[in-house]
Amino acid sequence: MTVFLQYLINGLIIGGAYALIGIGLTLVLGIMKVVNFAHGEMYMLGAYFLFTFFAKMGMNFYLAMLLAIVAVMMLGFIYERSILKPLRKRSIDTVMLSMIGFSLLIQNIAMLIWTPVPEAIKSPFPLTSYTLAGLYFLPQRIMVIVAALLLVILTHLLLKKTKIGKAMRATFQDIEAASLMGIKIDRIYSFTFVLGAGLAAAAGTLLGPIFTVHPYIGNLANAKAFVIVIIGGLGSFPGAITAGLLLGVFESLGAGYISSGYQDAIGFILLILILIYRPTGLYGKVGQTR
Amino acid sequence: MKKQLLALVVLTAVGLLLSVGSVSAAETIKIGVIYPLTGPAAAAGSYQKAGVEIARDKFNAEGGVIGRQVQLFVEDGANDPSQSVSAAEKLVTRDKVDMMIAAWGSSPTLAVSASVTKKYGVPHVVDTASSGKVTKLDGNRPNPWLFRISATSQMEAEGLEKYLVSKMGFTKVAFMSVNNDWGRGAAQEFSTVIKRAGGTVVAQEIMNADQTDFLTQLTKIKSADANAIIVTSDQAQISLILKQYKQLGMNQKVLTTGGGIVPEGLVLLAGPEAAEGVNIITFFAPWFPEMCKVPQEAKWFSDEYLKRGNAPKGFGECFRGYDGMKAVKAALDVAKTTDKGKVREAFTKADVQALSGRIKFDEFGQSSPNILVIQVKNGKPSIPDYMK
Repeated sequence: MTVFLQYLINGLIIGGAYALIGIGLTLVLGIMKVVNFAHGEMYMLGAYFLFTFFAKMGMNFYLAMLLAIVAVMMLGFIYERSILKPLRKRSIDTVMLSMIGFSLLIQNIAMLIWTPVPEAIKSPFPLTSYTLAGLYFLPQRIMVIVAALLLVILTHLLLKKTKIGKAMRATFQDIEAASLMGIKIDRIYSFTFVLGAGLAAAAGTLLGPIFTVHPYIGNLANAKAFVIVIIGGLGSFPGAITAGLLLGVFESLGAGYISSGYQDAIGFILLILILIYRPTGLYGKVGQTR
Repeated sequence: MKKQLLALVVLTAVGLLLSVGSVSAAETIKIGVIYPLTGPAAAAGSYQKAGVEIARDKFNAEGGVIGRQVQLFVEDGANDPSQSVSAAEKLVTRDKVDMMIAAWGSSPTLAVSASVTKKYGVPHVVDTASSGKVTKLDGNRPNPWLFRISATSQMEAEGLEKYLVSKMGFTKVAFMSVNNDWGRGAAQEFSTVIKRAGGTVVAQEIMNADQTDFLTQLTKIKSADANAIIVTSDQAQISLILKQYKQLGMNQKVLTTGGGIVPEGLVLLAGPEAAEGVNIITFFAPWFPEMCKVPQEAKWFSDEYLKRGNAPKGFGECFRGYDGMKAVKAALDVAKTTDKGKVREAFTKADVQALSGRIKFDEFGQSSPNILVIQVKNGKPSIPDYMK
């Protein structure tokens, strides 16, 4: 029983991080109809900027974290304005290709700047863990889940309570009607993309100190994010959160009770089952592409 | 008509230039090198590239090999079989290399061996791959052109046979192995040896090469009551495992199998607390040049490696490239020519002391490097008590 609970806790914690990566991708996809293949790269850059500001330049950890997120958001803004905006009227394939190109470009630039040698960010949290009823709680990871929860709630409030959130939801529902109501679509798009980049970067700064940092960490983040977005339903915010947690728990229990060799396969089996029985995802609505 | 004439002249000129180029290039000895320079294994590839370049510069400064300068053609194989094969094709057909050091991991090495070096008859030195299949397949030698200086997992396991259970106390062992030929092969070879020596295997965990979270595997190992863990993966992944192992309050003994792991790397990536006490299999110990048959050369090499601005965490890999070049030189010194058939013959006669031990190939083209174990003590490399 203790072992089962430990698997469950491990799964929920990693699932919280998955959810954080997933919501950024699902927002961009839902509102802008852009498949952001560079989402994982934003995650990677978040981790690397934290490494540079904190480990190399000796800044305060939390300040470095904040600066890293802001830096990635700025990059996201520049990319949205200079590349995505001119491509807005083009087909979804053109945009997709530009995103793939962009992600390869960032990956290679990261390799030039930071070299492919993996780096570690020393976390300010203690290495020893708390035990409670035979269960282990890792301080680093507790901070990740708390921060992830906080960010998810903040994003939710932003969408539900603020004017720009309302405008984003309106754009998600019907872009033409929204623009007729005087919503500046360009501004909404920029904001959404920057928000998505920021959430990915936040996940990178949170997980960077737990894991190692190298130019390819974005690939895994991307793979997980896409599985989450599809399971949760394209563009669905609560879907991404549920799917993230579900994926984390399934992976952990599957690796624990079936075989650790199938850890990744379990996520994809979940994905296939969802596609067969609920092709729109957990929270997705039936619709059609433009 | 005029145009055609012009084209003809241009073509002739180009042809002349090309032939002049190939004449002058024929004076150098061309060595093709395929390492992963992008992708998850890029770090290891870059360290080994540094080793190859140190050897090239040393040979050239000493007047070359058999009186000719050495020229390197380094290609990125990304540790991927198809990319490594096309790199090897290019090296053979376009760059016309005299021999090849390729292609890092077991899977790309097997691919290059089967579809390029065997097909074209190009001498092929393997300095990294450790899958048994590279030199021995169903009891036969799969590629007569291939010569391997790196140890197989079986050699590693058997090299430690008399220590593992009785002296190191690895009686209830759990495995954590990366999900490929290398990881699964190492787990198999080591469990054979452990069972033979009277120990038991209590858990066999597999992880993906890009996996970062191991709490589930570690929880399982903990509940399986293991007293030792044998890990096969690269340095970055092992560091993550150690960090999480420490966080879970585990105290099992840890042994890492030969994958370019060095104390400096573990201390840097996992932190000194998590790295403490870890046993590391290695083939070259730059910290203890006296463990090496050529202590002066070992000292010179590690100084030169650092002097060129390379990271100490690459110590577990860089020597491979250097030793690969030493094998090449040894064979050329015997052959006195770059004729491929004669060089192949010469490899069977080559005999030289290198950083990782004596290079001398058996009938399968396999050499037997040193199998050493070092331990992290107070954050520093040390020779473990049980080896003394």
